[in-house]
Amino acid sequence: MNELSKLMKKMGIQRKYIFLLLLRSPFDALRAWMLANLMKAVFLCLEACDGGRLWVVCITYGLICALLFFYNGTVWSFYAAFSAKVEAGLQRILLRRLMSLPLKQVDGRFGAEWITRLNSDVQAVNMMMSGPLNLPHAVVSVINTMLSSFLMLGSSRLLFVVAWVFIIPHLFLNYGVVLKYAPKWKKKAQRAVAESTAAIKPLVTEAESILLYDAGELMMEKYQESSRRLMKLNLGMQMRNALSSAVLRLFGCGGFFAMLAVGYTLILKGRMPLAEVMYCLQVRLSILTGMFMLFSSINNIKANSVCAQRANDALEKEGDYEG
Amino acid sequence: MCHYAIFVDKVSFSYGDREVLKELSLQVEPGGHIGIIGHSGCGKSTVLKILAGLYEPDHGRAIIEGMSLPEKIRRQTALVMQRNSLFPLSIRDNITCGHDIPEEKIWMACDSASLSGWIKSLPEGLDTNVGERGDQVSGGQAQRIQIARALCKEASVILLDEPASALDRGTGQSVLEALGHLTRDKTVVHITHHPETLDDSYVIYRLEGGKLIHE
Repeated sequence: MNELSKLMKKMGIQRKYIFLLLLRSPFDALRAWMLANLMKAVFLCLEACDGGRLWVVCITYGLICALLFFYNGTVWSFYAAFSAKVEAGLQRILLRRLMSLPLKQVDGRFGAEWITRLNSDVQAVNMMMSGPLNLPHAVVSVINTMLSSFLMLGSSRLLFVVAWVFIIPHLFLNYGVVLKYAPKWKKKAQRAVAESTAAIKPLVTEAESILLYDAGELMMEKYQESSRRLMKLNLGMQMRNALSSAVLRLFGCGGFFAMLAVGYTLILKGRMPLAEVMYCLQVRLSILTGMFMLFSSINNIKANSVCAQRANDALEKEGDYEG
Repeated sequence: MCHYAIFVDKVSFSYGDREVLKELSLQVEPGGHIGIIGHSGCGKSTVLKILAGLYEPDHGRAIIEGMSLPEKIRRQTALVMQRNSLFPLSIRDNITCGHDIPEEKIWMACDSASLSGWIKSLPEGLDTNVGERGDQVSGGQAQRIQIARALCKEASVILLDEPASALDRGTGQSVLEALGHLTRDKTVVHITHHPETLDDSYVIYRLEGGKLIHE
């Protein structure tokens, strides 16, 4: 996060970015609040067998839903325009920086590997700022989780505790299995991508020598080696992400049954109506969605922050270029 | 015709509408050395690529060591180019090109190309990576690796495309010495802008108007 913040400062886009982030952030929380209240209102109507009121409830929530999605779509379109400008701007700045490097440095580093890495860094930084399950979704999910937690706390402290008892262990597991290793994997994967690209290049640039010295097999073998390395790394990364998702679902199901059991007891004891239990289940679903989104976003942010760090390193001597 | 190492008969070649070679003919006896001179862009490298089996002529025939099929011609020829044509792999891979060549033979090629001393001084020896575009080695070393590669191939026809022209005088001289080992007892076609660097064994031709003219 520090790296991204530093980078945004250098590019002069920090304020605009925060403004867009704030515009986008309340959407999921508002939707969670709306859906929970819809659930509650529908069950109250059903309990009272009031069909007329049920229609009014459904139409009202339908309209609110349409407005919310219109708002969200508008904000995301601002984001898309902003994102395209940032990517182009960052690429321009980094290329200018490259052009200002001493020739000796350029000769030593300026290969296909370097260009590939530069491009993927720019894309990763852009993805981190505007892409799905990155910084915007992390902020959105934090606000969603916080509001949903307050909603549940306001409805039932007991159900609030039950819901969180099943979420907290996953937080620690996710850190141990995925988060801690994400930047290291990303670095390795990037190196493997660059090696793989460098291995393909001679198939075009040295085609004559490959033909003449019958080196096609050797080049393919080397390419496959680097390709296998990349595949292995990606596989490891995906396996850990999948494990994290699977564990989240496991805790999710466990939490759901626990909530049902506790809710049923509360209904039997007359301490809570069915509509309120449904409200809490819906709010819990929002918390889970928020947490799932947050974990995935943090994993991606951690992985992409390596690229932001490298982009910052490349821009270190700001005086060397005129932005 | 069959006793010639190189027999080129009325070969024409065009890049699109631009005809570079016009009914070009050339005969070289086994072990013969010829030099080709001519201004830039006159088609010297194209001749070499046809002789190497990299290009097929539009018209006419090119028969190298009795072979006319490009893939068979390529087995008979070795080409050392002016530009660095190294693969981003180890020195060993660049010399053997992935073929099963005994260690002893690799070192013999390195000795002849004046590479052994330098390779032995490297921590990883033959397994040192030459880097992308061979940027971890100097121009002279890159040329010598290409020469060692050609030596290992044991081709009977050696094609040289200004292999020493981009090097400084001292390095160029040592590369020419290494080339002496490569071309000994072989049929050689050497493209150059500096015919004075070729010894008396060379018959010099000028490529002009798409044809070879004896100098």
